[in-house]
Amino acid sequence: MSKKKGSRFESEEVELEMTPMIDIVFNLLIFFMCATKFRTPEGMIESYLPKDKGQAAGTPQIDLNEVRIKLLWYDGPGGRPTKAEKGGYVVLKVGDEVFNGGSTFLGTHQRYPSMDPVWATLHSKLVEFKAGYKGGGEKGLPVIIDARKQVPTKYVVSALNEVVRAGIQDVTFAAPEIDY
Amino acid sequence: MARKKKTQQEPEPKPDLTPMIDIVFNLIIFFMIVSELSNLTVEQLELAYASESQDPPKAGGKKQDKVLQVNVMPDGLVKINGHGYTDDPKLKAASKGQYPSLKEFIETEAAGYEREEPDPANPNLAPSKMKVNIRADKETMFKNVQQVFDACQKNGVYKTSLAASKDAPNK
Repeated sequence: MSKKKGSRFESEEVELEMTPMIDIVFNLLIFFMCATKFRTPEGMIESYLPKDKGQAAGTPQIDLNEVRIKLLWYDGPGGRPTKAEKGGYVVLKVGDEVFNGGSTFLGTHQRYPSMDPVWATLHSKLVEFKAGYKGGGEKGLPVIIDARKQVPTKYVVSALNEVVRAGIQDVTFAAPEIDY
Repeated sequence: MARKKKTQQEPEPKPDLTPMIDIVFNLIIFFMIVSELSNLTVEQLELAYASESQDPPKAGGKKQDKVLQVNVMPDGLVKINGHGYTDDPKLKAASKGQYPSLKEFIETEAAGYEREEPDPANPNLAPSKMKVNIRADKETMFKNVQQVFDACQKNGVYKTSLAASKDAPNK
């Protein structure tokens, strides 16, 4: 008490009370730390649709060199094509070659597209096709990704990823079998 | 009693700023939460992983730089700016016509963008400058993505991209 009385006469400077501000600032800090969602970094792969092809406008030109990556939907290993929406297996087929026949179906390992043996085979095949392309297209080897409608999207993204990784620019998606 | 004497002697009382600062900080927090809630263009989805995916372009102020975010939910419903759309007859019937048509939405949306010169091979449809990013859940069936592609193509929107996660998932 006596000290305060004395100080009143010495100086009129107001001392800033920092404690409440620090309290609030820490509260804010904690709030924003909690509120920030830890989003996984998100990217995008370009998948431009063809602009020179109308919907069923005349006969489309067919490049005999085009590569068609088929993602089929089978009812089991060594099974038959199915229309069931659940419980199917993805079969990767390029031309007449089935990439994951036998026991290695994509249902088991699908998470690392660039490291997975099935996708790695597709990648090396695409590089091979690209090197051997003799067609006249200005964008290089045309690749069509033809996925059955029941196939989970992650396989289509993986296939597209491998096509982009092989440096192929002309990528299109096959039209759906049934018009919506 | 000595204290009372003291206040009488002091001529001007200092204003107490603490309550005001409290209120201001509260207001800041309130508005930040509100603005975050209204930002529903990006749904919480699990995207497929792709090692070759590129960074999305930096959002500029110009309208032409904007990318329409089309979210495809695991059940096949298409969500744009928090509203559901679908062209899937099954889903339409199940929801009793609750969701408007995706094709019509893209059409009205594309009307606000400039168009390029039509390609000689397809003179009827001028390509739109609109950009669409399709954020599809990794488990959704491809037909749900196809319906977005289809709606885009029918309206001349060809600048589409697929969103993908950039970090490799754990094995």
